Amino acid sequence: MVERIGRGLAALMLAGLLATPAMAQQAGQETTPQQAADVHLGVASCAGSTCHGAVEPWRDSTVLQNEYTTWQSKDSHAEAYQTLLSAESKRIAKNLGLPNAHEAKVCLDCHADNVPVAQRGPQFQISDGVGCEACHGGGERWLGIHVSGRATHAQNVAAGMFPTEEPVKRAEMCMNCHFGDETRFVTHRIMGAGHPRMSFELDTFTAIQPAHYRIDDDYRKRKVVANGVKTWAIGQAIAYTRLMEAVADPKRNHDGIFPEFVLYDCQACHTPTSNVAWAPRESEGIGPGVIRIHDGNTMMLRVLARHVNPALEKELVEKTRAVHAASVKDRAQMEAAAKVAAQVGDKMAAAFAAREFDQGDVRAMLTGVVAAGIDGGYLDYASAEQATMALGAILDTMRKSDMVDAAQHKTMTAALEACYSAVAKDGEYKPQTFAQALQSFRASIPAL
Amino acid sequence: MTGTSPLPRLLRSGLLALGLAALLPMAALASGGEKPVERTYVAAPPAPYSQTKEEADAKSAGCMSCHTAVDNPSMHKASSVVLGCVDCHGGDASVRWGGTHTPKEAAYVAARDKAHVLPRYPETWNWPSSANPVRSYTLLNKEAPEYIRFVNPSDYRVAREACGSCHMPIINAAERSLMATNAMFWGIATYNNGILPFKNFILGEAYTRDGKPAVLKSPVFKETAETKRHGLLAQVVPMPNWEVIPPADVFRVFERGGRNIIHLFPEIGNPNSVGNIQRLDEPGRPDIRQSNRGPGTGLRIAVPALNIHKTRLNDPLMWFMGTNDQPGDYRTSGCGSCHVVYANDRDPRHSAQFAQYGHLGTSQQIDPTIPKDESGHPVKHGFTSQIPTSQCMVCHMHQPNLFMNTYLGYTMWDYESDAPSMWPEKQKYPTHDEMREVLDRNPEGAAPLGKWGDVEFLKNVSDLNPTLKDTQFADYHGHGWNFRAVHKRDRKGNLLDKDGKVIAADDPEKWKKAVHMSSVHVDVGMQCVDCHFSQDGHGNGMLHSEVSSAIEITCKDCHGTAKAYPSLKTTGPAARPGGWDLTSIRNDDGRKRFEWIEGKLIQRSAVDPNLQWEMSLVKDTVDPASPQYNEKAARAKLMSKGTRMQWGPGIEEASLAHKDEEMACFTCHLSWTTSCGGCHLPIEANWKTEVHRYEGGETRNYATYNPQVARDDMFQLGKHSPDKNGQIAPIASRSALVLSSTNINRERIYIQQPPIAASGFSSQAFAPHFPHTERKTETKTCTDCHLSEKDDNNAIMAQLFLQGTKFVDFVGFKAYVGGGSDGSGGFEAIRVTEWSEPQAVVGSYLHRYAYPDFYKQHLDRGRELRTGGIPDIDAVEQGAGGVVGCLQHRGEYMFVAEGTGGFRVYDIASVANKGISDRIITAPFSALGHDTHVPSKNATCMALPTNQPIAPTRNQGDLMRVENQEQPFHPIYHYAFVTDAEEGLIAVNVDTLADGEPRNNFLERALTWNEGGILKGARHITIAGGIFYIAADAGVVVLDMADPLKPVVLATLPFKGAQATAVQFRYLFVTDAEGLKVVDVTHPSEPKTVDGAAVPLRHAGKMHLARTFAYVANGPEGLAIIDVEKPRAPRLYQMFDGGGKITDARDVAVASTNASLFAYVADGRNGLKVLQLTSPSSQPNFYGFSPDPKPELIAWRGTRWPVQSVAKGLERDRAVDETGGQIAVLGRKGSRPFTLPEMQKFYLDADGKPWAVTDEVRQADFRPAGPRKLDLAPAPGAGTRRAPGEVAPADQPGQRPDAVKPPGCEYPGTGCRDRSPADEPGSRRIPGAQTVNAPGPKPVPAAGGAE
Repeated sequence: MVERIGRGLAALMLAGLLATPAMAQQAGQETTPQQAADVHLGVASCAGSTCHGAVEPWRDSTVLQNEYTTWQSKDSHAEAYQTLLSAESKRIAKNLGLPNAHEAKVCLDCHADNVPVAQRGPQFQISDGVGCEACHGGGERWLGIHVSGRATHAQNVAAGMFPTEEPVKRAEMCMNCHFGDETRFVTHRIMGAGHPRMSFELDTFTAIQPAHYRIDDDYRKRKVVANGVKTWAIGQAIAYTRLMEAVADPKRNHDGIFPEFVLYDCQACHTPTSNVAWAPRESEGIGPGVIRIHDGNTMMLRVLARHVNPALEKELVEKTRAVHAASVKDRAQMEAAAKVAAQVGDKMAAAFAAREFDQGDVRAMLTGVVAAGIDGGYLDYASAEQATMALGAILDTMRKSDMVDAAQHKTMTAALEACYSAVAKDGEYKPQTFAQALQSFRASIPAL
Repeated sequence: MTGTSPLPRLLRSGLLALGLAALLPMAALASGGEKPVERTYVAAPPAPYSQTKEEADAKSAGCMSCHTAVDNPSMHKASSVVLGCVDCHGGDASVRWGGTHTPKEAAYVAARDKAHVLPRYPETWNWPSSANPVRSYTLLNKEAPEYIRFVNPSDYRVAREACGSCHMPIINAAERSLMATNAMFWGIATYNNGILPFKNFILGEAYTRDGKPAVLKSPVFKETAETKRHGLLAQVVPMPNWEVIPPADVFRVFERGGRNIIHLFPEIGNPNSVGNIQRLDEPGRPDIRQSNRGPGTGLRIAVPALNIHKTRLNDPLMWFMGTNDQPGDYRTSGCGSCHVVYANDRDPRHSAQFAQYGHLGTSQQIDPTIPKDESGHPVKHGFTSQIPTSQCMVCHMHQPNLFMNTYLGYTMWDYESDAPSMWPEKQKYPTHDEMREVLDRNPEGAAPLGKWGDVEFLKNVSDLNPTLKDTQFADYHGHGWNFRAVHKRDRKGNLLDKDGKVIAADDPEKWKKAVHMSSVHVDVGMQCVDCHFSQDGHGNGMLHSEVSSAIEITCKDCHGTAKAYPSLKTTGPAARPGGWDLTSIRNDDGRKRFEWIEGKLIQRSAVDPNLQWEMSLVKDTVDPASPQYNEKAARAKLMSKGTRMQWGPGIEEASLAHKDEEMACFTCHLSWTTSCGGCHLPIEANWKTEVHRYEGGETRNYATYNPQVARDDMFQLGKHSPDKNGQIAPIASRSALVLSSTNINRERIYIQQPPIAASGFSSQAFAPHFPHTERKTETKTCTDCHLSEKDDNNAIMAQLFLQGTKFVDFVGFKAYVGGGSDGSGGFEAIRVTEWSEPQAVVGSYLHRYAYPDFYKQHLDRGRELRTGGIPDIDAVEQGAGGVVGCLQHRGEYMFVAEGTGGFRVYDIASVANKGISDRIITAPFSALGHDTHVPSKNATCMALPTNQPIAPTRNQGDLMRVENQEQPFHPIYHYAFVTDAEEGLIAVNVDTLADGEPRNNFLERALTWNEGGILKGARHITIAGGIFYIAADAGVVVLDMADPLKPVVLATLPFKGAQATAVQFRYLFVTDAEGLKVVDVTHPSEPKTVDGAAVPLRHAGKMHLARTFAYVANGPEGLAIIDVEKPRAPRLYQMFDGGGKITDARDVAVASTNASLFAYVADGRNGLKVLQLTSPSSQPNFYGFSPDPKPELIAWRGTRWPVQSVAKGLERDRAVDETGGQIAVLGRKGSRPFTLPEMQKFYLDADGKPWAVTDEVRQADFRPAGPRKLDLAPAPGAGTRRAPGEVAPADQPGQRPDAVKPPGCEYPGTGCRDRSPADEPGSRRIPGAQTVNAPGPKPVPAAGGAE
C-alpha cells in the first residue's frame, strides 16, 4: 500500500510521526497550534452560549461572542472532517490505497485538529474538523485564565494561545495546511488521486472564512492590527518562502526520478497542446518547454518589493531566476538556490511586517498590480488568480480606510467581476482576456 | 476598555425594565399567620463575572467545614466557572465548624446561624430544614430577598445578583417568556369568559426583587403590523385581585340594582361586616341581585379570576416554587425550576436516567447535611441542561391545554374507568377540614371522596396497572391528579394491537398487546428538550401573548418536506432571521446534537448521553427508491388536488393537495387529540382559602376545579392564526367553563352557567393546537377528513368541521321536560345528578362507586328521583300558558313554545336556590318592567340557533373586527324561532336577554311568516345555520334564512305526517307516520330523499342524533335506537323500553357525563326516564367514538303533566353551524372555524358533486415521475457557502433575508441583535471553479435528475 502512495508520501507520514511537539518547542520558536504539547479541550469547551456560542453577536462585549456559531455554520473549516466522508474523498483514499480518508493521518492532519490522542480532552471530537484549537492553540493552559476575563491577551498567548492576529504568525499557521510544511504536504500523487487544486491568499481567505472577529476600538487596544494590503503582502512573502523551502527540501522536491510536480505551475502541463501561449518572463529566465516552478506569488511580490524597496525587488528577481535556472540543471543546485530564495522571502516578510502600508502604499499597489498585467503580463493562471485576489484585498482596504466611498467601491467591485470571470476556470485561462478585464477595471478606478 | 465589567450596566438595564407597580398593599402576615422576625440583612455582592480559584475558595471555606462534600460546588459543569458558595448564596464563609455534625449542639447551631442567612418566616420555611416547604406560594413575595437568595439564588427575584454577571440576557428573556408571565393563560381566561375584551393580552405575572407586583415591559417596543401579527406585547400588568374584578357574566344576580336583605345577601370580604352600606340601597327592587352600587359588590366576582388567584390550575409557575407535596410537584423557582432536577417520576420514558431516583423529591446529594429521606430536595447540587420531561411536567401537566400529557400518551382520568380500584368501598363523608386538606393539594372537588385524595394511595396508583381492566395510569401526579393512558382503538372503541387487530376486552394480556398512543418521539426516547431548545425554553426576550407564536422549532426543520431534506434551521414563528442553526448545538459530551452521517441524520439525546436516534426524513419516505419508503406516507404527501386520488412523484408541486404551507404536518400526523368538554367551577363563599399570587393572604370564596368530559376520540379542524399562515390545523375543545355559585347562606345563586366570551361567542372554547401525539402508523388518514367511499363517516365529518355530534352535550344538575294535555301544561326541572363533585348522574355507574350509600338509597327508592328531603329541590314545576311542545334553556332563561299560550321566556336563574320560593318566574320583578311573552295562536315548537349562551351585540366595532380579528355573527343568532301551527314561523329578537341590562327585556315579534300557508300545521323546527327545516302538514319545508327576516323556500319534502327532523352534516333525518327517513341535504336547495333509507316505526316522534346513532322516541314501544353510521342504510339497532317501563316515549336528549353516555327520555304520562347508554361495566369500548349503546334504565320520575319534550344539553363540540356561522370562541388571534366554501373543498368537486376517498392504497392511482423529474431541490447546505467561482451571494439560500426579520430583533436582551461583519463578507471570494465537492450535509441521491 505504502508503495503505491509513493515514497514521498510515506516519508511524509513517517515525518509526521517523528516531528513531535517537543522537538518543535525545543527549536525555541513559537509553535503553531498543532505542534504544541497542550491538550486540546474540544470545540464544545468554547461553544457555551455565554462564551463564543451566542447565536448573534452581543452588543456590549469586546468580542462578538458568536465566533463558534460563525465557524460552525459558515466556516468551511467546520466541515473539513465531513469532507473526508464524501464520495470524492472515499475515491481519493481508494486511489491512494488507504482504507478510508477519515482515519488516515495524511488526510486528518489538515482536515481535522489531528493532535495525538493523549492531547485530546474529554469533549474533543475529531469530527469537528479544523476546530477552534486547531488555530487558537490547545486550551489546556489558557482556557482558565481566558475565561476569568482577567488575563491580557499577552498572558493568554504566554499560556499557549496562538497569536492569530499577527499576520506573520497567522500566515505561517495557515500555510501549514494551505500550502504545507515539513510534515503535511499535498503531493502530486494526492492530487492525481483526486484532491482538488490548492489556492491561497491570506487576506482573501481570512475574509471569506468568514472572519469571526470585528476590528473595532477595543480590538485595536488589545491586538495587533494589520490592514488588508499589509496582510496580503505578508501572505505573499510567506507563501514564497514556503514554496522555496519545499523546493529546497529533498524530502519534498521530487518523487522518484520526477520532480514533485505540485511545486510547479499546473498549467505548464495541464494545458491542451493546441494552447500556444508561451512567452518569456523576466523573473524566470528559462526557455520554452520547461516546466516552471509555481511562482504565482512572485509577480505580486515584485510589485510589492518594487514599491517598498527596489533593491529588494532586484534581489527577488535575481534569486528567483537562480532557482529556475538551477531547476533545469540539477537538484542540488536547485535546493541551494531555493534556500537562498527562501531567505529573500523571509526578508520581504520582515520588511512588510515593519511597514504600515498607508494610503499611498495602497494606491501604489493598486496601480502596480494592474500595471503588471495590463499588457498581458499575467501569463499563467496562478498569477492572474493571485492578482484578482490581491485587487480584492486592495479594494477592501481602500473602502475600510475611506479612500473610496461606498459608490466608488461598488463601481470598482463591479468592474472586478470581469477579472473574476477571466479566472473562473483554470483550464480555460487566457492571458489576453484577463488583460482586457484589467483594462476595464482600470477604467473604473477613480482619480484619487 | 478591558477592565470594565459589563455587570453594572446589565444590571441597570435589566432592573429598569422591571418598572414598579405597587398596585396592592403587602399583607402583614405570611400564610399561617406567622409574624415576620425583624432582621437586619446584609446584601451579598453580586457573584463576580470572574475571579481566581483562590478567591473563590475563600468564599467557600467556612461552608465546606460542614458541607464537607458537594456534588458540584459551582453548580456548573464547566470547570471554567469559578464560584464560591457565598457568591451565589450569600452568608458568611468565614464561620467554621471544627467538630462533627451535631445539629442539636448549641455551638453548632450558633455557628450555623451565624454562617447562614436567616429567614423572616422561620416557621413557614421549617427552618432549619433546607427542604422546599410545601405549598409555599407567596412566601417568596414576603421573605427577605437575601434569604431567598440563600435558599435559591436562581429565583427570579434575585437571579440578577447570583447569575446576572454571565446570564443577564437570558434572565431578561426568561422573565418575559410565557412560562413566567402566564400572559396567555390569563389572557385567554379573561377573553373567553368575557372579563377583558382584548385578544392582544394585557395581563402577566412578574415581581420586583422585594416581591411586589411588577409591570413587565418589552425592552423597546414599537407596535407594527408585524408585532401585532406575532402577538408581541409592549407590556403586561399585574392581574388585579379577584375581589375587585367585576363579574363579566350576564347572570341575573350580576344585573345591576337590587334591594339587599342582609341575611339573604350578606356582603363578605369588603370592610362592611354589618352591611350598613347595603341598607342604603333603595327598597322595592329584587333582593337577589347585585347591589345597586353596581358590579363587584357583594363579592360577586368573576369566577375565572378567582380561579387564577386561588385554585391550582397550571400554577405555580416560574415565580414560585412547586408545591413540593406530591409526586410530580417537586421543584424550586426561577432558573432552577428547569435547570435543577428533582425526582418526580419513576418512568424512564418521562424522566430518563432520573427515573431511578424515585418520585418523591428526595435527594442523592453527597452533602452530608442534606437528609436523604426528606422530600423537597433536588437530586443533585448542580445545574443541568439535561432536563427530563418529568421536570417540565411539574408545570405542564394540565391536560386540555398544556400538551405534555398527550405527548406522553395520557389524558385526565374521568373518575369512571376502573372506578372500583379508585373509589373507597365505604362512602366517605369528609369533614370540611378533611376536604380542605385534600383540596389544598388537589383542586378536584371529587378528590376528598376518592382514594387518591390520600397521598399514600396516590403515589402508588400506577402500581395498580397490572390489575386494571379499563385503563392504565401514569406515574406522575402533579396537582394530585391521575392520568389515564390513551390506547389505539377503532371508532367503535375496540382496543387494537399494532397491526390493527381487535384485542378482546377480557384478554388478560391486553395491555401488553395494546398500543399506547404516546408520541413516537417519546417512543424513541426523546424528552421535551430534544425539540424545544434553549430559545423555546427561555423565550426570545419579547413579551408574547400566545405560545404558538413563541416557538422557533417546526416539524420540517428536522424532518424536511416531501421535496427537501431538512435545513436544520429553525423556521417557527419565533425563529430568528434565517433561523437558528441546529447543527451548532453541542451536547454535554462535546458531540454535536445533530449530525449527518452517511446520508442519515442523527440526533443525539440532550438528556441521555447513551442515546441517539435516526431522524425520519420525509423526502425519503416518499421516494420509492429509498429503504424508508412508505406507501401511505407517499400517497398522503404526494396526493394531487382534485377528486381522482392520483398520487406519486409525477404530481407537480402546484397540484399537490396537501401542501406544507397550507396545512400543518401534525394535522395528519397526530394520533389523537384531547378534548376537554368543560370544567365545572363551583364557587363557594364560605371557603376561606389562601391566595396563591401577589400579596397572598386568606380571603373567603373558593372554587374547586372539576373536569367534566375529557375525551380522546375527537378530531376537528379549522384555520390557524395568521401568524401560522392560516394553516389548516387540528382544533381542540379547550377548557370551557360552567360556573356555579353558592353564597354565604349556601344558596345556589347560579348553577352550571357557561359564560359568554368577550366577543359575544359562546365560551365553549376551541383553539388550534399541536397535540404532540405524533405517530407513524396511527395517523389520520383519508376518511378522517373526506367522504368515505363507504359513506360511513357522516358523523366523523360533522365532528371534523366543528359542527358537533350531539354526543358530548351537557345535561347538568337539572333536566328539563315539558308537556301537557288538553290545552294546559307546563314544564319541570328535575334534579338528575349529585350536587357535590363528582356530579354523578343519580343511579349511574359512577354514582354506584363514588356515592355507594346514596346509590343504595336510590335503589331502595326503586330508582325514583326523589331525595326525600326538601321536596322541591328534587323538581321544580312551572305551569305554562298551554301545552309545552318544545323547550330549550340557554343561560338562565328557558325558552318555551307553549301552544295556545304562545312563546315565553322564563327566568330559571334561581332554579336551585333554596332561599327563593318561586324558583321559576315569568319576570324577575313587575311585569311592567319585563315582558318576555310573545302571544301566538298555537306555538307548537321553538328553536334557538344555538343553545350555547351568546351575545351577538358584543361582537362589533374595530376592537372585534380589526384588533381581535373576529368574524361577525350570522344574523339568525339574534333571534329565537317559533313554529305556530296557524301562524307559521315567528322570529323574536332575544338579544336583550344577554346584555346584562334588566330593564329592556320586552320581547316582540320581528317576523311572522307563512307564505301561501306553506307552514300550516308547523310542529317542529330544526335550525342548521342559515337553513331551517320545518315539519308541517305539507311535509318538511326547507327555508333559506340568509336574511332571517326574509325566508326563502328552497324545497318542500312531502313526508306524510312529518313529526320532527334532525341534521347531521350532509343528511337530514325525518320522522313521519311511517318511521325514520333520510334526506341528502348536501345542497339544501336540492334536497334528495334517499331511496330505501327508511326504518319503519309506528310512533316515531322527536329524536336525538348522537354520532352514529339516532335515538327516536317511539311512543309505546319505547326508544328506537337506529344505527345511522351509514346514513343511506339506517338500521334498527335496538328498541328499548326499559323492561316495559317506557310506554309513551315522545322526546329524547342524549348527553355525556364523565366517561358515560346518557339518554333523557320524555316518557309522556310516565314522566322522565334516565337511561345510561354506556358504562365501563356495560360497554368496555366506552372510550370509542361511537360505541354501541347498552341502555339501562337507571332513574325515573313522574311529572305533573304528561311530558312530550325534553331540553337538549349544552352542545359542547359545536363551534360552527352547517352554513359556516361561528358560534363558539376560538383562541389564537385570527383563528376560526372553516367557512362553508372551505368545508366544501373537502367533499365537493368543482361542479358541486360530492366525491369520496378510500384509505386503501391503490396502485392504479400512482403517477410515476415524468421524463422531467420535478425534484430538483438542492442538497441541504449546498450553496450556503460561497463556493469558489460562484457569483451572486445575495441570491443564495442560507443568506439571511432581512425581510423575515421578526420585529424587535434589534433590541438588547433579545438574543438577536446587530449584524456582524461575519454575516456580510462583502464582495470577496476566491476565483476559479474548483472541483472540490461542496460538503453538503447529505448528498442528494442522483436519481436521474435533469441538469
